[in-house]
Amino acid sequence: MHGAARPGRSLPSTVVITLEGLTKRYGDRLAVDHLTVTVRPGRVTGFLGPNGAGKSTTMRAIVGLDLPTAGRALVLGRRYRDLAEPLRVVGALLDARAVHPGRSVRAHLRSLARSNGIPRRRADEVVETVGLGPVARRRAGTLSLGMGQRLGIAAALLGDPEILIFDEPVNGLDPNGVRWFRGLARRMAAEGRTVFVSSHLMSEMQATADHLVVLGKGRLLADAPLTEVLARSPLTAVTVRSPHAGDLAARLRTAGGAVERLDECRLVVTGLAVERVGDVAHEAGIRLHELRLREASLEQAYQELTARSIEFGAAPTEVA
Amino acid sequence: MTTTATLRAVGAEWARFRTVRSTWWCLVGTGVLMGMAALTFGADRATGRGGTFAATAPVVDGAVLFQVGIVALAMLPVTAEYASGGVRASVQAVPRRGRFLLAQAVVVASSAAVATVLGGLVTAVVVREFLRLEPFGGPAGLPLGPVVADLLRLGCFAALVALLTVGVAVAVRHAAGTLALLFALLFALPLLLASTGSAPLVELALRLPTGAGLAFLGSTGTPVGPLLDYPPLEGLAWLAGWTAAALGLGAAVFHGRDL
Repeated sequence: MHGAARPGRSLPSTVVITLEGLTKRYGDRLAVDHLTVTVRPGRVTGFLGPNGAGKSTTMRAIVGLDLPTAGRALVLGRRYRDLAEPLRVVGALLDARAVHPGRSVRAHLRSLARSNGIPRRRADEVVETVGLGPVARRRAGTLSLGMGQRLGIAAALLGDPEILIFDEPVNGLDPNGVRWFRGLARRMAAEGRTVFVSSHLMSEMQATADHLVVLGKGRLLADAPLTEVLARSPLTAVTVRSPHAGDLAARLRTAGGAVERLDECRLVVTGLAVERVGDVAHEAGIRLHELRLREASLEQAYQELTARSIEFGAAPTEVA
Repeated sequence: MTTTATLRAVGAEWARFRTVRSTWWCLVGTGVLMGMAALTFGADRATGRGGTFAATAPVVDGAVLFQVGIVALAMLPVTAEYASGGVRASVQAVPRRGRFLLAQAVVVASSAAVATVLGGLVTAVVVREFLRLEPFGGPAGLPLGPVVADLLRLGCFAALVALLTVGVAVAVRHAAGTLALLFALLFALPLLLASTGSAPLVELALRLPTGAGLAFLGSTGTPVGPLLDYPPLEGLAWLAGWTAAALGLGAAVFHGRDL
């Protein structure tokens, strides 16, 4: 089987990870609350949320480590535990330190390979891929944080899987390592694989992800393309400079925008796309001296999104 | 397919078992315990009773002590994986919990059995040579039948103790808790029950795993030897029963556990 096209590549399915009302309760704490999400191939899906939002629980449920209280998590339409050679389908880095400290890097990977009928040389190959070649014989307990992380990534890549799941993969990686991981994730997605990554580093996520799934208190807050999440943020605004700012402001408000007048000739418009602002000006024959998009960073958009959810949870307030 | 998957899981478990130093230290420790106990019981037999005996007989008596080594050997592959979190990587690779546990049980039990048979043979030879020294006069021999029977029973005993340990370790997860529980079950509880003097409790004490194991092995050289007045097969049944209960408990807990 190995050496040939990866299994699953030929599947018509465009949905590879399916969460259907996934719910996980620990005692009286609801960690994941009826989460319904699909994760698709060919792109990097970022998984965001504050600590305790349920990201890791969700990822553990996908690979069968946590047993859902209700609902289910499927990969390629099947339960993970029903996969004959799971490491060839899903590679997951959940906890890079999850290695017996006394076992060597190579022995750890070879034992995993053996359980899924993956050739030994593939274990040696991924050691090189992640740059651990020089320490392959060292015991895992002697590795630095960053090297441990690379070992976890190596284990995820072992079965050359169609689906890759990474929980906080860049934790402990140095800047070079972070860039290396970004390239790896982008390359895997470009090859048509499904890449599902959680991270707290928003700037990193903005540079890596195509699509975002945002959790807050176990609930889905957003499931949208990165560009849409950024565009939807009230912090994304259009700055306009015009000698007829007053007239333009009135027309933009009529068109549905929120307008703030900075001075005699400058406006900040939110709630309207930059194209629409230009069109409104054009239709009214108003001259523009400047039309500029000020895009929110993911950091800002995310803060805003999660703050709103917390507010919503505490006391619903008026929606603009 | 499932057979292949199970064999692969066993292969992976074996690879994990032999690639940590603790396994080898436990084997060395068990060997030392076995040797010391066998020499002591052998000298005791040679000076105490007169007559000749199979050199494996004192090895069998030593089971009361070296079972501690088997407990350590069988416990660490389970508890160390929980302590490090390595069990998560392993279960991701073998997500069928029953298959994973089966592989662990097969590897640990067969390793314990093989190591005990080989160690028992070497120890028996050492005991025989030792008892040729003055003042013992060489009472121990290696008659084929009894030696083979003793070694086979020792292998069986080691496998069962190892499985009992795996069951408890999977349920408890932590090394300290596992050791405490097994120490209680193997040593403290029988002593406590026996010291009550109440007949049914003493009978029960003799049928806890240690007594049952010695009865099955036909050990007569330990202080409890004379008390074990029930047939060896009953001993085997009791020991197997305790083991099955421990494994069943471990499996039940493991099936519903979030890792």
